[in-house]
Amino acid sequence: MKEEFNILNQIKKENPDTGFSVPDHYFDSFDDQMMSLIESKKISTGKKVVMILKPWLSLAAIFTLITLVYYVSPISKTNNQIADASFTTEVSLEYLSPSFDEYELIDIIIDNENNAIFDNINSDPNLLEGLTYEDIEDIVIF
Amino acid sequence: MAYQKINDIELVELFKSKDSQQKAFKILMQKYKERLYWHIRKIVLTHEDADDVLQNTFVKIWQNLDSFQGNSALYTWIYRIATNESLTLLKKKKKNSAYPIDGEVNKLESQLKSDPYFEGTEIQIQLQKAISTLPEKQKIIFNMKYFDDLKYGEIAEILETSVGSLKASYHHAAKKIEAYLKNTLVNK
Repeated sequence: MKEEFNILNQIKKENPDTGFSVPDHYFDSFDDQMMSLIESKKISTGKKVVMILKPWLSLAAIFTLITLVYYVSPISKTNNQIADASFTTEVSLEYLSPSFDEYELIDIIIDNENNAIFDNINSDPNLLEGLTYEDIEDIVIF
Repeated sequence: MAYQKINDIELVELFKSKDSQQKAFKILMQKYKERLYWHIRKIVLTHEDADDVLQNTFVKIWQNLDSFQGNSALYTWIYRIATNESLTLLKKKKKNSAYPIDGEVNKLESQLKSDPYFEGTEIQIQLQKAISTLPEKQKIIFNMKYFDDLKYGEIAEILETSVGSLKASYHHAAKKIEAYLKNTLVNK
């Protein structure tokens, strides 16, 4: 240490430590306490890499997984949701088909005033001229 | 003791094996707990806080040691965790503290005098007060150099900074402390 730090040099000479102390046997019992803590809280080694890198990345992954499960799993769909689906312009036949027979499906689609396909047919009455009921079914469904 | 014969690289390898994980961790604690405790204690000052931070430090070590890459020495990695944990605690405490900075310095004297785990002299209290006026990083650098006698190279590795800036920081910190103590001793 340089000459200019006289007071600090003097203090260090007379009091080499900080003056802090610990409770008796603190260090003797520390290891056991620490191991008990790790065991009681079941703290595992090797954190998940994603959690270390970016916590938000793991959150995004969880959200994506929930979304996938919601939209892909047929189990998650209730009858109400299937009924609601019939009132959207993009009717999913895959969802509807197990619940209705072919004729009921056609009725649902034709009855729906918001249906884009039906709107086109309805706006041009001549289009339906000469078509059988089966032909209309083919136009609407396929 | 047996653990003194095991070097840090062997210790990490021992920890990576499930069968010897606990044994390796106990050896690591025996080797580093006291040094880490005193390093932490000088930053957070009270025994209760130092104990909390030391436990958090070892929890972090337990969680991450098997992914330790060995890019730096084990003890610098451990010291870095302890330093960061200490600073995190100080930040939390500052957030919750109603005292302004000047108030903290004055509060420190009564806090140390009533602390059952502080046995320092009057000049050691004044020294702690002087250190507490430094910015956190300067405080840590000063403690590591003045009390622990660590080399600048070691401190630089722990704090991930250059030796040049460390020397400047230490010199600056020591100068401020000298001025504080001179002023205090003259007025007493």
